[in-house]
Amino acid sequence: MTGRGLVVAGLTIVAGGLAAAALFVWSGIYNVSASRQHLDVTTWILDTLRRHSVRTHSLGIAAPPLDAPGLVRLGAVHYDLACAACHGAPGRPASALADAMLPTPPPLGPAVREWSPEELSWIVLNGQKYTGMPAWVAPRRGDEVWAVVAFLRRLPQIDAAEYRRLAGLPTQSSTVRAPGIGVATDAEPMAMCRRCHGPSGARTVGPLVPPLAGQPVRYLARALSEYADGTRPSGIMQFAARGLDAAAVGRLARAFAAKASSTPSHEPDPTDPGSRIAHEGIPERGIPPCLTCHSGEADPRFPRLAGFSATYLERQLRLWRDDVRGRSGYAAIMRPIARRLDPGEAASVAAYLARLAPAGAEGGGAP
Amino acid sequence: MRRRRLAPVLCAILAAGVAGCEGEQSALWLRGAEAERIGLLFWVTTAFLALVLVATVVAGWLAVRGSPKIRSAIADDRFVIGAGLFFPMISLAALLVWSLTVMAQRPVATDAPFAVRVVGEQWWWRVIYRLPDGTEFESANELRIPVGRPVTLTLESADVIHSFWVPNLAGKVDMIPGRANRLTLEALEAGVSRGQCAEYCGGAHALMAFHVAALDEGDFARWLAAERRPARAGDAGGAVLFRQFGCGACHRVRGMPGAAGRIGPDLTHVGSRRAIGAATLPNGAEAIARWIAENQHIKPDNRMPAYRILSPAELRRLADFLADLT
Repeated sequence: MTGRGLVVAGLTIVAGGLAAAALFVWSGIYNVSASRQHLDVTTWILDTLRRHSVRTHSLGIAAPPLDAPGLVRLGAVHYDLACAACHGAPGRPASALADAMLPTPPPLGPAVREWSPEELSWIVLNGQKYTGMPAWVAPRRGDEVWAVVAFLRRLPQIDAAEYRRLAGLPTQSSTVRAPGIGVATDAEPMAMCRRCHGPSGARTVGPLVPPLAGQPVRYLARALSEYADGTRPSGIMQFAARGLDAAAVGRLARAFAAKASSTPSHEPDPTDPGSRIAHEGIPERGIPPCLTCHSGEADPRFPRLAGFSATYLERQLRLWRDDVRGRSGYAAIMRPIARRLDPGEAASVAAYLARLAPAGAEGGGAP
Repeated sequence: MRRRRLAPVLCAILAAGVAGCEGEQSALWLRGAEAERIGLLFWVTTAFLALVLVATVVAGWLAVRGSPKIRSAIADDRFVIGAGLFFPMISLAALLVWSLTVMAQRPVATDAPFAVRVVGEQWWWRVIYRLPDGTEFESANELRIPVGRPVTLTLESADVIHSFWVPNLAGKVDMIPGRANRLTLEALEAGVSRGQCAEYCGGAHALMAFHVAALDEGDFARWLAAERRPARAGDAGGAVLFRQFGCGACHRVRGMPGAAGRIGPDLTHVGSRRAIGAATLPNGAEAIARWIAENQHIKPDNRMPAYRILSPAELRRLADFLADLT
């Protein structure tokens, strides 16, 4: 055969292959239904691809300490509300719908051990293509997924009673469960809030969760609506607040704010740089004193900072600095100010404000 | 043909130049003692250079078209050495000596009614008056001086290098961090001049301007008496909004509790100023409301956050309250 003949033959084979592939797609012979398993080879390819992809993409991630106070309990409540419907939990079978998915969401007991915390965090944050596993609702809040990761690491060791305790469920099953792939499983939204923010809105599951008691009604209502429409990103709170109508938002805000405790005393402590920022600001760098807008008679749409934990305040200041919380008219005010604080100043002012816990309140966090 | 087309263009340029002389920010409208000396230097050297230019053109023309007698005179060594060497040496030396004498005659503030510190900040001017009895009060983006009495300004900077320039009244003087420069202003007639930062100082540099108002003796005394007083209590509802939105964290209003901020301009008598935002918007309740809500659009990057969160009614009431602080 001549060289020219080889080229013609090659081109013919390629063209024929393309035509066959086009015919295969066009004919619709391939079955995309979830009721029939993949071919073994397809399963193998998808599974291998997935494992390698997770491993490679989580290379640059470094896990924070997963034993931080309250992290596991926050993760447990979110898991119960968002994940358990598909993945099940100790003492709680997955929804029947989940059994009919392809692939079936795996029960997350022993399966969790196959992955490192970094890999788990990447999976929780990004979801998984071709499996039905959704990404984290707020893609820029990678800081939040560690609560879920911390809980997942604990999951293989716990029984049903411990699960109910961690997830803030009553010891006797009294709540009505939505049978589907539910959002909130509690019949009453107030009960859902209490699982993290505490029965009176003051004693929360941990320092990452702000106490609500003592906040102005209008601030709480604003925060809930901003979470609901995604203006304030949070994979946990966007998920919890979506679907609350204006009436429910108002009712919840009033219920928690009504538990307001007495106004804290704000006596400056001249030896503490955090106190200086809170009471006097750093005028030469354009940083006003925090407490002018965040205490006492300031506008009721602004939060009162006394009583928030240092962890929560520092996290929020970092979100401002990283431009994650930057979309509302309120953000237009707070963002430029927060960006003028360096991380050390943010830490010292957060620590000082946390010490101003309102007198009579139970305090921010229990581990 | 070509010449006729050129004429209207030349006229337009000339007209624009002459019109520019009358501007409140023109260096050719001489309304201060310093500016007059700078103007004298400018016009004398310009006239001299014009004469030299005309003489050179005439000599060049004669060297080509003149009679043989004139052409040989121009080509002569004595002419070349005289007009080309001795004339520039003598005339330029004389001009130098004269200009140095003119520049040395600085006005001296002997019986100034007050001392003023002007501090350049990104991107506005803090103005601090100090009276002979030691009392100090602050204003911003506007300086008022009495006509005919030299006033010495101490020029400082809080952050980067700025330059203080009121072309009607005096030349530029840089404001350098860590240094106090001095400039004596003497207004020769009553009126308002505009100044501008003349050294690039960051994002909003172009919108860092100010006004200097020269007032007659009586007007000045009345203004000074009013300006040193604390703000008078205005609309109580407006004052509540001022507190509620934390304005006092950055802005001082003398006489108002909780309004002792030092970050932004002192607002004690903001309603009496000609402009707001460092001479960016003509003053008025409408402009103040716009500034509060949209200042990042009006003057991008300025240090004040935009307060879009106020309802129209709140905005109106707060702006009216501020405009009433006269």
